[in-house]
Amino acid sequence: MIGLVHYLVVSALLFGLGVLGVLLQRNLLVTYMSLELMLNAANLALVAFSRFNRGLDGQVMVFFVITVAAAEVAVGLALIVALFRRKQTVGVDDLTDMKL
Amino acid sequence: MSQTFPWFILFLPLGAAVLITLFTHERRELSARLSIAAVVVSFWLSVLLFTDPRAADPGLTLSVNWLNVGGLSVDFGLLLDRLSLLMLLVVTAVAGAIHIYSYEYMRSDRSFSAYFAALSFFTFAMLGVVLSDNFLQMFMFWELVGVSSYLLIGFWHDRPAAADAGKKAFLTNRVGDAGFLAGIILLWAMLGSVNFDFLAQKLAEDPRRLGAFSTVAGLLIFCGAMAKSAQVPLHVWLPDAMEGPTPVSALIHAATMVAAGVFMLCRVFFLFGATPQWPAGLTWLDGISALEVIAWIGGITALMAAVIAIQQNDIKRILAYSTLSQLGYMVMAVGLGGRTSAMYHLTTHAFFKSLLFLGAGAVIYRLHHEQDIWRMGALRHKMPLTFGTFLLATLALCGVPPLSGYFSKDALLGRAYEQNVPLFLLGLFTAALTTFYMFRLIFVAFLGRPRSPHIEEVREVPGVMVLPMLFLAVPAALLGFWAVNHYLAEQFSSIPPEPVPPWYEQVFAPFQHLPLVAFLGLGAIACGFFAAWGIYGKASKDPLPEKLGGLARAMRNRFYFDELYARIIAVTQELLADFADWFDRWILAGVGVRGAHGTTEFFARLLRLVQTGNLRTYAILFGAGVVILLYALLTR
Amino acid sequence: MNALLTLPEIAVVALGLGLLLLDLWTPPDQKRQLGYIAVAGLGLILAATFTLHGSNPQYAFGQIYVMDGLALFFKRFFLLGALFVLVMSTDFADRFPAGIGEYYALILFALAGMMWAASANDYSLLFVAIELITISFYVLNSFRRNQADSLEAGAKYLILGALASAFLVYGIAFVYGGSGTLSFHPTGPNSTDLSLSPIFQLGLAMVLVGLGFKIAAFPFQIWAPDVYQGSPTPTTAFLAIGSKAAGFVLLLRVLFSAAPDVATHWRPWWMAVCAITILYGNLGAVPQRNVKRLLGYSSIAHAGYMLLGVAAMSAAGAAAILYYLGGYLFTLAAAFTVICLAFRKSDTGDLAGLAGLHHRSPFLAATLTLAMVSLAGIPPLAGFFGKFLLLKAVVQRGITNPAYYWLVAVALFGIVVSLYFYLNVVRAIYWSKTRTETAPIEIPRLTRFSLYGCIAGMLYLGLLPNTFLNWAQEAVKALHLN
Repeated sequence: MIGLVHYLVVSALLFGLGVLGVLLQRNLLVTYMSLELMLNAANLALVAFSRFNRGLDGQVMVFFVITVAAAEVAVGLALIVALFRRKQTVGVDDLTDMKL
Repeated sequence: MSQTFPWFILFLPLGAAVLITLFTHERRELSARLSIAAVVVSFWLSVLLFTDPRAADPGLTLSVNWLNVGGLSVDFGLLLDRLSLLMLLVVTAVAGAIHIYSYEYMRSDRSFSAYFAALSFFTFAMLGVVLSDNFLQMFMFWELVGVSSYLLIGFWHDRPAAADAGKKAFLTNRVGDAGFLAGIILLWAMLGSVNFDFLAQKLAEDPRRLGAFSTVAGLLIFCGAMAKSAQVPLHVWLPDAMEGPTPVSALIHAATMVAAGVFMLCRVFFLFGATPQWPAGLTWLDGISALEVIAWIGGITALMAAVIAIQQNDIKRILAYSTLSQLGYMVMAVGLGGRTSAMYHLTTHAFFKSLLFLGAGAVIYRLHHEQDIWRMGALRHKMPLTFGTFLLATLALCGVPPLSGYFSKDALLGRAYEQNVPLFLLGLFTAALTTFYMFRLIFVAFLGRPRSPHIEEVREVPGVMVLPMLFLAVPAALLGFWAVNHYLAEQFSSIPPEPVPPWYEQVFAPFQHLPLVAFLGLGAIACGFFAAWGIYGKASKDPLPEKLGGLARAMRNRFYFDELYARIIAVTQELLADFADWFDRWILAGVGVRGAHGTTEFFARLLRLVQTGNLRTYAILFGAGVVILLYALLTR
Repeated sequence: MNALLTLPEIAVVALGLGLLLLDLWTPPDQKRQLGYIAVAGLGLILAATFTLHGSNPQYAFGQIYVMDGLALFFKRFFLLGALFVLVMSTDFADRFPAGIGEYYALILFALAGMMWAASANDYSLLFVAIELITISFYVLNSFRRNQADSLEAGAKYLILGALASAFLVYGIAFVYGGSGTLSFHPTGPNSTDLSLSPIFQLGLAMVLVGLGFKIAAFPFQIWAPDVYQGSPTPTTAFLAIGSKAAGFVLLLRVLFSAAPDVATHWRPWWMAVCAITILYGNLGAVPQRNVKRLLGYSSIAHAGYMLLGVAAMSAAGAAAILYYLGGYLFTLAAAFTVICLAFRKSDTGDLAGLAGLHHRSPFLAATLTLAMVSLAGIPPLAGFFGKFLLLKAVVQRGITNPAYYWLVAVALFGIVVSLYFYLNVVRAIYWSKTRTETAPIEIPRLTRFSLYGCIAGMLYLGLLPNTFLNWAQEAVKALHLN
């Protein structure tokens, strides 16, 4: 029988993968994909809790998250494209003009 | 009239400052006149108020409610009693003289109007401190004094040194003010009010009310005075503040801002009546009261500054260290419980020291901003009026009878003699040093031969500058006969004071009261004077640095014993002076300028490790932050 | 169910959409004028909020949205802040390559997000409101898309903001899992026990990560200096004023309204976070040579000061935060407006660019000096009184818990240090020798009025704190603190 804990473990694994991707990837696009992965991990957790709590709030929340994620992707990709046009790179390590 | 006059006295200078800033900025003459008129009217009203018998007794508080929020209520109040009336008179008189003096001194300056606006604003802030009836209001004006002194010290925009000096003054004051603010908040939290009368009443009812925090609260409040009145170790700003225009030094560093600390201590003296007690972690300090700490800090400041003054060559710096030293006297007196003598000395000092600064200003004005005394000399004949007033003020500072300083210094030393003999001896030694360095200044700068070719062209300064000096010379000479201590004793002491004797008896009163103190005081003056005469009477350059040559000359001198005595004193003094100067420059000033630079570098280096500009580093730090936070919160 | 309660937000969004439409028919050389329409519209909405009352909480959308004193206070706060920022943007308009109309509209959308955040009574509205703010800011930050700095700032804010959002959502999932509801006020027999359950606490901690990012509190402060420096100046101002305040209203609601027990349980950590934030911000600002970056660090420090009010956990502390934010609004609006005007050509924000400002415009020089002095907390300006109230709230707690005295000592130390770098700015204005620009600065009339407003606000809050403090105290009654 698959229980709440199984869902949560998968969700935590997804989230952890996302975090590692953000911390370790050098490409802005891949970093951004990792961030989306983290959001989906949260969605999985929300649906799982919703199912086992016998409430619908969590599933409604998931729709909010999906909508917001879509908006975030639209804006984020546009920004990355603009950055690429200006600097001809999407390397995370190339963004170090401002420091100290 | 006593209902409305205080408001006018306080707000007239502010009105002048606002008018100048907003409207008459372009019209130099009008701005200056507005500013002078406001202060002079304030002074006149203060005189009227002072002579009104109803104003001082039993005292008066005029207040409007200012803050009233859920359980706490603070008034904006003006507190009139003998203490504040006396201080009002001092501040407006000195400020008035200096406003008039500045009219000529600053005439060629580009920002003439701005200068007067700042000067008036400063006067307003200072009057606010004097009249405040509660801690919060006082703190606001206290900080305004700091801000306006920052503007005035750094007034000459094209001098980076002036900017540094202004900043140093402000920062050092801020360190003290942080303590002051903490003390105020502590008192408010513990006693529920910031009103002086209310707090005094509460503490009089039950001296244990502050519990374990009584000494801490007293010392925190003292922190404010320590910075404003330039006590060790927060004194470093005052000598540097001489970068400002000389009239500003006369106002800020002789009579008002630096006196604010002493005044404040007298105002909140009730705090020190609380039973001394330390909080749990500091019980090993038991037995030390806040007043003792204050007295010793004052005494050390007095001695150290006097020793340093001996080896200074800049005329304003000598006066600056002298101010430090005299402030140390006053703080010491407060620490010994002698509010009356502290305020007495504050009053006389305000007049003669601002007179000294104005005299120095006149010299500097005529010598095209030359401040080295070894490039002056023989000014006595060129500027007789300046020399006369300067000499008078010097004698008053040294404490020569029957000038004002004689009475106040005697009262102060008498207090020390009765309370704490080591501090009395320290004060006595300082008095000798005071005479020594002041007469060194007189001998080198005003007597002897001309030491620079410019001296020939020097003339007396114009009447606009001489008049304020003559005006200040009157109280500097005669204030002693008007028994300020009796006036204040009515308020400060529970025993009714003895009736004031006629003036001719007053001169001898100290000899009847405590003859030993009076004679020792005179002896100290004599020692200092003869030492200075012996060493500097005919010197063409400072002989102290070349010990041997000086020693040889001393042997041939007919004042053989005096010379030898002076030499021994001088050598030890020089060692002391060197040490004190070293201590001052490396340890204490290090915190100010050098230290600030060093710390900047240090933080820049640390910061480069963190704020690398690299997004991945940021993300990793963010992740680490999350881990730390989750760990911390969840294992709790 | 009363959807009309959210009328102010709807009006703001409608205004934004209207601007976007108008933008289509406006010739390019007149697009700057759209800003005046936006300013007028916001002014009307702000005036209209004074017909609303918040003394009795009213709810809408099934208790998701609440209209109480706190919400109303912050709505007015955000509206006023956005007004100043819009005025600033009209000065900034000619420095954008294109799309000033969209810039105005995005400010309004972010404003709507902040206003909803002020009324959030449920984690779902909290999330949507925060995301509306954040996503608008992604664009606002990188709006000068021909400038590498602006894009870099945008990218940094994008990645770290999205990271914070991900933690926030994940945290909300666990909060939901722990309490079974998304509401701030879980009802039911075992709701108090649940609030101490580990899964709920884990979720709440992650929600705090998201909010900590918004207010730039340690350890999530790392983005602030870079983003403040690189973003267009009006955006920076809005980040500093609006976004931070939105973070604080949500923090207050989540901590004291939704989970007071947990908040008390974590008390020592608030104190630690608060102390480190103050130190980091103030010490980090010491070596800075760029005004905007310096204000970035200073904003961290100010977040730290306001966290004093959170750490105090009392009504007085919360009211002090509101009061502090009020003073902060006027002060920062003044500072950024001056920066906006002074760096018209270069927009680098380098301290050297301020040299000779008092010759170019004595009024601007004096305003910036006042703002710096207020930020440093010198009476009688607004900044002093805010700090005073915060410290007092903490000291009052200290009587029962002496650890609070250490917090006071750290805060006082920070205040002393801060004077050093604020005076550096003042020094750069008045005492610098090398001047890069000498042309006198022309101040448009509307900007002049907005600066007068800021100065009046700084002085009013500092000199006559009564009225405003009463408002703040009324507002925090919604939190039911004592």
